[in-house]
Amino acid sequence: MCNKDVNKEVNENVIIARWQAGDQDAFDELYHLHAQAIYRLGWAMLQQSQAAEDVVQETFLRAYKARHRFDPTRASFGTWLYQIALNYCRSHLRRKRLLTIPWLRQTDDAPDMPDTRPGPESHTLRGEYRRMLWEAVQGLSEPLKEVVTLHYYMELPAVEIAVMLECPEGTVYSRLHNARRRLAEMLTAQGLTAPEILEAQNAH
Amino acid sequence: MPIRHVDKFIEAYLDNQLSPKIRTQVENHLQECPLCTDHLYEAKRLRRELGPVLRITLGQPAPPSRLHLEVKQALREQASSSRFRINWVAPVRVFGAVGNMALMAALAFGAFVVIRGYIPGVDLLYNLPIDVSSRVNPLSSQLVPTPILMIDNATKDQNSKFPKPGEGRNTLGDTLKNLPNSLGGSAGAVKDAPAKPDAMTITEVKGDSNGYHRPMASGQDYGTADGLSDPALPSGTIAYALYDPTPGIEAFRTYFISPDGSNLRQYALIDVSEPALSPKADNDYPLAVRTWEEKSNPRTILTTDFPSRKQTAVAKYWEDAQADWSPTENRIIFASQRESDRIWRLYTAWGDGSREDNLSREGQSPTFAPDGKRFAFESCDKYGTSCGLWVGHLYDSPESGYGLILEDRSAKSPDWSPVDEKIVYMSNPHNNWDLFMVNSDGSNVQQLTDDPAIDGLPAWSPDGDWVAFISNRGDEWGLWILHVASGELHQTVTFENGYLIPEDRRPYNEHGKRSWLDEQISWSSN
Repeated sequence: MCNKDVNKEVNENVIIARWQAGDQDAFDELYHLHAQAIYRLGWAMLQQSQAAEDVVQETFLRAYKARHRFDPTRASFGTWLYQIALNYCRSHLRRKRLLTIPWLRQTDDAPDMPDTRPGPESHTLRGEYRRMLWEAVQGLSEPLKEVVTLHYYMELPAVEIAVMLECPEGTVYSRLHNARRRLAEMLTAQGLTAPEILEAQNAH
Repeated sequence: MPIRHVDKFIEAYLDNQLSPKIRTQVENHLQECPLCTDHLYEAKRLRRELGPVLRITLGQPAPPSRLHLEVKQALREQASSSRFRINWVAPVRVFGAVGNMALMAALAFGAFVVIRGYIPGVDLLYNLPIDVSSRVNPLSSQLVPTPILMIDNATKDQNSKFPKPGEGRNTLGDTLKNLPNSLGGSAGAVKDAPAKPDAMTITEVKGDSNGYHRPMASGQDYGTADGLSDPALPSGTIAYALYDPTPGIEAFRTYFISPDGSNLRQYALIDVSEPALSPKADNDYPLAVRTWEEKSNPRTILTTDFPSRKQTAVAKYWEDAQADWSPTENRIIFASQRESDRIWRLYTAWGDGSREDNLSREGQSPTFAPDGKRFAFESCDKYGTSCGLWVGHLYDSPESGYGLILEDRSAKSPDWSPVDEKIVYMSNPHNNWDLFMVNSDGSNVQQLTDDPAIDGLPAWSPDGDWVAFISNRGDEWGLWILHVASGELHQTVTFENGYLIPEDRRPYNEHGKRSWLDEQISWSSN
């Protein structure tokens, strides 16, 4: 198992070296290894399929331009790509905020997802709870939403998020903590008390 | 040992990322604290739910297979001709947004001009171009003001490194405003200042670049009369900043004064504060200040190169603050809230602006040790506990190499003695700010003042015998100096009606009010 991981890493390092030298085949391999994760990151952050595709494209373009700056001692290649993707998402959101002046707003700015219309599940307490939780996550401030998405959706460990955000690991945990407090507050404000939440979770 | 809730450790605890020691403490606390236990259950519930909710709602989409070829194509284009895929939608939108912003900016500018009655930025043309030496000033050369200290021949030390009047620097006095000795501090400047002080400066400059030197205050007008003529009083220059609330000015002014209260000078650049004088005699950049002026660009920490009187932006962001010079190098250490989380972090930069380093450590008010490698700062550990004064080393890892020397949440504004291991700081253990001193290894905490008034913002004298500080003794803010060994106390100057701070921090910082605690003073032998 261990040997396999080591082999995998060595293998990726070889591919990266080839890619840095401009080898097209190496790019194909790296694309297959990382494109899906980057696409999901873009999708989770921007919630638009076109924008998520742009994230993938921009990330690989920028990574290629900056390929000699990649420092394997600082972060893994995947983390480095995530970091580029995240920065692109942030600037995209900033741009979008600039453009969301009401009279400029265009219809295609609306997110493709998620569909939070009441579905069959929402008639159950559990479904209702999940909908509220999703809305509460959407109501978090940008930095908190970011760490929640990275940690819970992308399932990245805090230490990796810390490298991506260029902050200490403690900051990631304190943001996760703040996010939890905020979410709990918002759910309480929605009228969901702790026993109800518990009941919702136990319901099937 | 106070009982602390462990709420903020819960995520790290559930991830099994705590050190064994803290983990045990957290577990012990959880056994006793129903509140934290509730939070633990709440965190567990959310962890159980958040992942599935996000995955169900967002799905687990995969990129379309055509994307691979598109990216490849784009890469090929980039590589071959440096051309990028042009998405015309984005530029059109950006044009639209830029147009709208320009329109709004123009309207806001118009409104400003109408309301305030003058065009913002005009005074700046006269006042301080950044890096004037490399620009052609549209005004006549006589009017090019360059920031420089005014030195009074009568009181200035002979070995001063600051340029003296008549040394052939024809613009020496251009940007200085000598304060009349009867006015005593900023309040005098405020009282007598005409409505447009910048205009006045320029008028004087036109008259005679050096002609408005007036005899300096001898010192008797400031503070206690006795002792001011005491030859044992220390020498050097103390720098501090006051807020000038005069309508139309509403800005910080930075002053320089001798410890005996004489030789009061005002720095030419308006709306700068948090001065830091270099203790290093051969430093080309003897002064660092934080600029607030929104019209100046860049708004960040500037250093002044006295040989060429050039201003250099050494940092990048307007949140950069609290500079302190290295005693051994042309280097500053400073703190900034530049990250989006607004957490103070430590950085260093070279005085000529050539390089900046992120120390990757949270902290505030850093101060260099005499060796120029170690530094003290106020901070907490990464879990927000163990707050107080810390000592770090430029070449050590922030995680393992930095140590807490004094646990005291209210300890602020440390200043490390230029000659030994003593660190002076302010703290308010009993709801009253007083000065304290501690050795850099955390031993020998001593209280230096116990006056019921506020004593704060301490700064060591260059010989390490005296401490300058700000106090509101007698209900008037002023600058005081204290001989640490004997307890001898002198007032250097009273800020008559002078403001240490703006009452409303709005123009300065949207993240809260700025108080006197955010300022700093500095003392150098130069």
